[in-house]
Amino acid sequence: METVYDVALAGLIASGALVLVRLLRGRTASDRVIALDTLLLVAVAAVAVQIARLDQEEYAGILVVVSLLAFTGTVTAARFLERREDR
Amino acid sequence: MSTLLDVVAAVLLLAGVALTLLAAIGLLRFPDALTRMHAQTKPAVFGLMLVLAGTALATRSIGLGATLLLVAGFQLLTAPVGAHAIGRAAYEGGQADRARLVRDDFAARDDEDDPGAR
Amino acid sequence: MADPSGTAASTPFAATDRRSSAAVLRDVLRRPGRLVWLVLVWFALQGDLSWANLVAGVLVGLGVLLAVPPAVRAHPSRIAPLPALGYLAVFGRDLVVATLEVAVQVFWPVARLRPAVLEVPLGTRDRALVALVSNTISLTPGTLTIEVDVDRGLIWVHVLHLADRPGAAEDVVEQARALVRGGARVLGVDLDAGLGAATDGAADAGGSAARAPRGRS
Repeated sequence: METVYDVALAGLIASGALVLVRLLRGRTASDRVIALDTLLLVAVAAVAVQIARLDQEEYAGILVVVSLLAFTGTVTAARFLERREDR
Repeated sequence: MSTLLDVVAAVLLLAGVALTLLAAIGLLRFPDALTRMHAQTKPAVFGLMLVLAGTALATRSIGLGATLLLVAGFQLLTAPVGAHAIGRAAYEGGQADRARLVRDDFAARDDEDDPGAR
Repeated sequence: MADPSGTAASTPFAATDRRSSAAVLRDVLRRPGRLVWLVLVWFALQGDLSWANLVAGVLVGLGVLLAVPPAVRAHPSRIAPLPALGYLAVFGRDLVVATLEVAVQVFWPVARLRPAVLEVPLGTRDRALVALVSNTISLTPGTLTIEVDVDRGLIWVHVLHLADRPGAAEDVVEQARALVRGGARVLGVDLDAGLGAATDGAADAGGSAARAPRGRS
């Protein structure tokens, strides 16, 4: 089971790195917002794997809070982007 | 019995990570913001849910399982809304590559009876 | 959000009202379902079933209900359990198929992708139904709702790849309309009522939903 956790974490780190490239390259602001949202998803997944690996349930609160913040942040950024074109 | 649960948990975890990896690759390869949206939101969210399911099985704790179920439910409710918000912002804000669209019914109707059209 | 031109069908919420705290508490005593649900969510958040959590859950739940009073709906929607299961089953199948499709499309040469924006007439102005279908479409890999016009019962869907064969677009529209029919059964929406000035969407969608409630998917 330990190796499964290691492989999973390695895969998540690789995903995070790829998303980071998109975040830096971006081009448009929407691209970067999408990249940030994905990065947060990857982070939540990584925390979940760590919870399983270390068998520590206390960190479950992180998942809830990060999910909430990711959602509100993404929608807020999207509304802001939408409005920019009207000016 | 316990090893069976572990095996299922392992499969779920690896499948979830594979989906997330797929989403990340799509994010890099797809040509514009709107298409990247497709790669990111859905596979990434489902990858996350698989990982959460795998974690719940691996720890075999009901309390944690309930919390993870809550997080998964929340993601299911909010992911489409977030995707729609960004998709709309990208499309309306001109940040999507409209030339790439094979068929665009929305642009076609813009000239008709829409008082708010730019 | 005010909707000055709305009819009952398109404005499901009663006029915005500031209800007094006493009114909210009385409502809770009469219909404790919401408070029970909030307490359950609190339990799930804490991951721990205990008396302390029960007290805390009730207090927090009451606080939430007082701070953000739930809107009063003119037509409260009932969820029919059997059609709901059917809807979820269809969604589950679409989900697996679509995820595999997108998984393959990620590796295609970029020039091969044919994204498109399609207009889908839903044939209904019921906000709950439109929201349900739009969100289901957005949640399915490969499709995303990017614009909604509730008053005309229209949504615009962006698809990642539109197959190059004739009738591909119509297939997508038909899939969406099937979702509308299924969703109408779940929420108990009468598709015959539809829009005032009926498009052909309202006519044929209403017929199949009203006359054959079972055995059609």
